[in-house]
Amino acid sequence: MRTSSTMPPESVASALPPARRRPDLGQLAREYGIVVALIVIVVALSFMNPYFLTVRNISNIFLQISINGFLATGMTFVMLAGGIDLSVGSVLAAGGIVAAGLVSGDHAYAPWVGILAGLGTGALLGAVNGGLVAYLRVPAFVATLGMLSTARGITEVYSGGMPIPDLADGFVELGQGRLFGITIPVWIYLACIVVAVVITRNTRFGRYVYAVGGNARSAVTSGINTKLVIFTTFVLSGLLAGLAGMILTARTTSGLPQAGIGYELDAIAAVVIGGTSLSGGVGTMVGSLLGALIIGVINNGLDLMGISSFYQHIIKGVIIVGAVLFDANARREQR
Amino acid sequence: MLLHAEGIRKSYNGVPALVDGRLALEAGSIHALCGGNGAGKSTFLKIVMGLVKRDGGTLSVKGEAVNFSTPAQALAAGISIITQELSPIPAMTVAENLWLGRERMRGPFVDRKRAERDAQALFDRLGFDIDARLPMRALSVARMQLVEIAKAISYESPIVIMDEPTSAIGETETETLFRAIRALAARGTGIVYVSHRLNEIFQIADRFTVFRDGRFVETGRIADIDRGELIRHIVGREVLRHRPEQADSPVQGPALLQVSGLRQEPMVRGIDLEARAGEIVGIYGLVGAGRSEFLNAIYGLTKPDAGEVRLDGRALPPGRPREAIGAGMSLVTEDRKETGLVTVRSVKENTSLAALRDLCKAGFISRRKENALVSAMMRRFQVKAASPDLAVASLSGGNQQKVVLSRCFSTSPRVLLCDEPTRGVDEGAKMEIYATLRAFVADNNAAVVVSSDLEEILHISDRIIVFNRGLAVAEMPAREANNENLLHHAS
Amino acid sequence: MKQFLLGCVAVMALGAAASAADAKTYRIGVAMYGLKGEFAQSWVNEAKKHPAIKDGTATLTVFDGNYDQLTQDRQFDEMIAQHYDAIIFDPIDSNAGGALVARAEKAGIPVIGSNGPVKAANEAAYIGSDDVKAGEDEAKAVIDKMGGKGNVVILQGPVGQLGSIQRYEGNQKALAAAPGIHLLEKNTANWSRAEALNLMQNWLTAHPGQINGVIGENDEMALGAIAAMRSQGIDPATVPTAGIDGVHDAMVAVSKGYMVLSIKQDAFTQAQGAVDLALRHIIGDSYKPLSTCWTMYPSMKWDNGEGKLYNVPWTYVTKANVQQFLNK
Repeated sequence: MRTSSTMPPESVASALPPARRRPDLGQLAREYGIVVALIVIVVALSFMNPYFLTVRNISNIFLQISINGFLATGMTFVMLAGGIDLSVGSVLAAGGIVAAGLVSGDHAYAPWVGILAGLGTGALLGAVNGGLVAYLRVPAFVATLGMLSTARGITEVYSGGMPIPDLADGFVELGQGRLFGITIPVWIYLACIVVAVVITRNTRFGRYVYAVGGNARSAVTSGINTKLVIFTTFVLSGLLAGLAGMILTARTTSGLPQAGIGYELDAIAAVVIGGTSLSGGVGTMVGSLLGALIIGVINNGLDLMGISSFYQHIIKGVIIVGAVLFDANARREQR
Repeated sequence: MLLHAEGIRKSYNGVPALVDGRLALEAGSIHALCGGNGAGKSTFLKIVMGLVKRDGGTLSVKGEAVNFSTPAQALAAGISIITQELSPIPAMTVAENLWLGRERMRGPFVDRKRAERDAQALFDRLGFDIDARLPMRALSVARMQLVEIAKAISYESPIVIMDEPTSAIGETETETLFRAIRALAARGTGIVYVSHRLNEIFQIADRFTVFRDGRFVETGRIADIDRGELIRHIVGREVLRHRPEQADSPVQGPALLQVSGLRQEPMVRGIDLEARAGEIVGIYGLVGAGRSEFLNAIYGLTKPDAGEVRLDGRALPPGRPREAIGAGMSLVTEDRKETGLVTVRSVKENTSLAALRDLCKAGFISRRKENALVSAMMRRFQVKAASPDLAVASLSGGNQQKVVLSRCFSTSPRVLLCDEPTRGVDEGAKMEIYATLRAFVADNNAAVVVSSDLEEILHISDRIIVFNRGLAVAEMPAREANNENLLHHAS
Repeated sequence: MKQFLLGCVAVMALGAAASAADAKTYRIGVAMYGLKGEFAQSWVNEAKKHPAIKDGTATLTVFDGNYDQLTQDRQFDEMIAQHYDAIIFDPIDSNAGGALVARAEKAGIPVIGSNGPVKAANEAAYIGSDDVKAGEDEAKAVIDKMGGKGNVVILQGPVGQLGSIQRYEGNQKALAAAPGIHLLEKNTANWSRAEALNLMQNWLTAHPGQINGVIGENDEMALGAIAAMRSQGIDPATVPTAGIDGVHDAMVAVSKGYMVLSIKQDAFTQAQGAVDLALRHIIGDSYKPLSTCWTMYPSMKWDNGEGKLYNVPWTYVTKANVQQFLNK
């Protein structure tokens, strides 16, 4: 029998089985913290309101968070790479209104034409953001602040400031229809989350996003085309905002020029609550999903209890700052 | 006696940085403080300027014992400092920068006219050709440095400490600066002048003090010493660190890396270099000699103004790190936190980052291939981390550097460029890194190592090239090189 | 983290205590387009003073749509999930509102429209004033004062908002009937006095001496325009100006002759009438209205609560009758 003491001294790492994926502790703590927060809020609300934990209300919550969820997913890509996208609310309106314009009235195109146009509008506006930030070196805050206004203007010009009603039935189905009892927006959102998780965890592009946000200069040294990576994150954000816009339009059965005002703040809040660092490089898609869920559950719960929206704003603000404080503390402990 | 220091001690986490710091500065004297890397000069200066508290020893200014805990106290006691790092506010004018915190006032208002007038008068007196009304950002780095110098002088302190004041400025500005320094000394100011450039010391100083390994070694008049003697004081014992595997005769392998006429003004002014298979080429030079800039331009982090880089005979497109990696080049950057690692990400992600291209199928990372690569690299470099999923930030400096090397080796390079590969790394890890480099070139590869550590250069290189102000001024087999002739060429 | 969660729980507990509903009371939900404006606030205040609410026959829960369609969408879902007995609805968008009404009707919850109409929807009843008519009448008043000749400007509400769209529709009707009137400028000032002030100043600069009349789609913006005229030394009395809402400052302006007309919207009748109609649809024809609002206007009768459309007449405040409103 040989004892372990006869083994040659080896580094700890090489003694570990290499294939097993062990999650980063700090990351676990942060995600765990959000889950705990979510559970506490859900339990508290279910005691306070008998309707909260009904199937109908739960499915409502998922439907309600899907719009913010799309925006938060795109925002996560941008923020992981160290940027920010303030224009998502306006791009959402532009995507929705362009799609609505094509599928309404007597000369309506087929729904898929509207869908492609809506996605295309979002991606195009995102590409403008990305081009400005990555290639012309305009700070993301400024470039997307400009787009916040520009895209809203495009929406108003396109619609003449008037809502666009009478959408084709097939298009409205996108927001109203059900599949196996669950509304279509929820299915699309779940699919979107799965794809986003796979991209961030399993693809080269995802890795590059983290690297660029974590340390752009290191990424360049490693031969990464950082500009292309940053550009692409903005295109993704625009694309998802366009998608959100169409689903919102289908959901409300008319294209609204004033849709999505202030939505960028909820999207950023979801991402930040979800543990993504404002300076980039750290965060997960699942975290953003949980962040969007927390915001959705709070909105829903406070509404159910009939708490004035004025107080709702205060509570939401406290929770956002609280989440970030918690995040900062968790990180300090990690060091 | 303006400034008197004796027996100054300081340890960081139990590691002594300064054991016996001594200095005696007299009014009207220009006193050179000399020493190599790790001699304890910086620690000594930090103590004098109140940035760091000393563990022991006495310090007195004009015969009065002092004990500074902030730079403001040191300034109030009559010590002003010119540091290597500039801290200008680019959007403000030169005059505003100069009087920052000491604004010229008229009643409750800032008197811009007077600020400019006073600043201009100061520049004229010093012989600096600078317009005080210009915004700071319109100035060259050299001019900014002069403003910084003028600022230190404007406090009219009896003691002025200059830490490498010429590292960022050209020869003409240096002349101007020296004139100003002499005028200052003539008015009775005592100046502590710190520089690696021995020529400058012999040009400007009248006295010298040498530190070595944290200890005072020698002091005296410049007139009583010659260059060789000063170098011997700085270097101390002649350590022969040559190793048996270093080539006796020039390495004869095929040239893997050929650099010709590389130019990137103002730091790299036309340099040729060749590295052969099986060879480690060391590059030695002082701060500001253009070493890092040279490596960055070869690798493509920056686009050179002129020149060509060939790897194994094939020309590399300038300014394209990805192409360089693809052709078989890797760069270990100087500052691992700034440009080397993504410290918030894991050991695994950092290791595989540059090699992901080869680990992917249709953009998807193969977990199996990645894990295999990462564990192989961690074993090869003996990276000590509890898990490959730990953030790099949680590792020690030596292990972080090993992760950098892992990443560089993961793309199977043929030519490795190393910029200060062992900075901030402990002795044990250093030896491991040296062994790795040696094994790497033994496999018919080539490495270029930049270091400001003389012993390291002598230890690791087969051939040594000395850089001085953007030019390759000397080349010699490592066996013929020693501390003295390297320092001689570099300064 | 712990503390702030505890804080949340405490706040929620307060809310829960407030909403712990007696099983026998009827629960009425109110979906308002937004609560930031003066009219919406007085609507809510008047509704809460309804006798049935005060004596606990019914509870009223007000949801703030925050001018966002998605928020109102969510709130409808929440009211449906909680089986509210009736919903009083003041929509953000009349097209999108239709889908919400259909959803509630499908769940068997009657929807009473108030203040803002919903297109192509099967509301149980609607009580409100006709914004198109108000827009038409205020424009007419300005045009008449101008003698049917000259240039006017229109200050509009927020882009795409229902009230703004309808009042502008009315403005256009009146303009179409007055060929001597030229529409010089129109733009949104978002219901805001400050924005209207800037906008009007710019117009006065661009068209010196050419603006002969101002149509404000609400009083606040009309007052902003008057402030702009005064700042440029123009006597507001020489430029006929009208607005809608009947806010206090507008009454004062009417009394001074700065405004030719302010059209007063009756929040009391719209709110309490809606509550009566909601209870009528919950309880059935045994219910008798409790609010005094049904005695206000001869043209608007209770009609046993079976009507579909209850049109609350506007009150036209001019120099002739302004004193009675100022004294109130």
